[in-house]
Amino acid sequence: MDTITKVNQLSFAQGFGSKSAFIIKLTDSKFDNFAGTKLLAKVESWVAANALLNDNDLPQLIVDMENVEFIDSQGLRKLLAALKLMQSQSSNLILCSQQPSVNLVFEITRFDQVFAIFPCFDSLIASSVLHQGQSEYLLAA
Amino acid sequence: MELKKQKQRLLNQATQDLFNDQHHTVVIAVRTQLSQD
Repeated sequence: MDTITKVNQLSFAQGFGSKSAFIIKLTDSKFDNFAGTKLLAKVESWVAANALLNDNDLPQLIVDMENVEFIDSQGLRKLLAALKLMQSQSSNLILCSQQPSVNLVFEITRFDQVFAIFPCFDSLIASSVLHQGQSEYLLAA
Repeated sequence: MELKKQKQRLLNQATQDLFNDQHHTVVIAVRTQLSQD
């Protein structure tokens, strides 16, 4: 329960809820314009595919940032664009496992007030337990 | 119902193919909300 107390109010408000979700991990240590553009393009394709095939709501997208040690303004812009796109489809993009250096950038730019950010994957799962409804996880790694 | 499940499976696979590129992103888990029925 300790990790849950560290999660900000926004994270609770924008938490898992009762939606399905895909949890992805960024593999590169640098999240700049190039990596951000790649991610945004994938999110756009994913949202379009869901609109075509899925009758249900768009699942949430959880981005594990454990490997990211550097993020610049362009990377932040692309992440914000992805968040807006997800929110326009009544879904959400949630971040977790930020390194202290990346977390600092989010704090300075106040992006931590825009994104729901969980300290680790476990706290994210724990928060979902607080919500009603049953869910199952298929771990791919 | 079967068609719906097939579409969901197809979408899950497409999502994994899309994000599993090793260079930038990889899918680590899928959370499926179970029906309350």
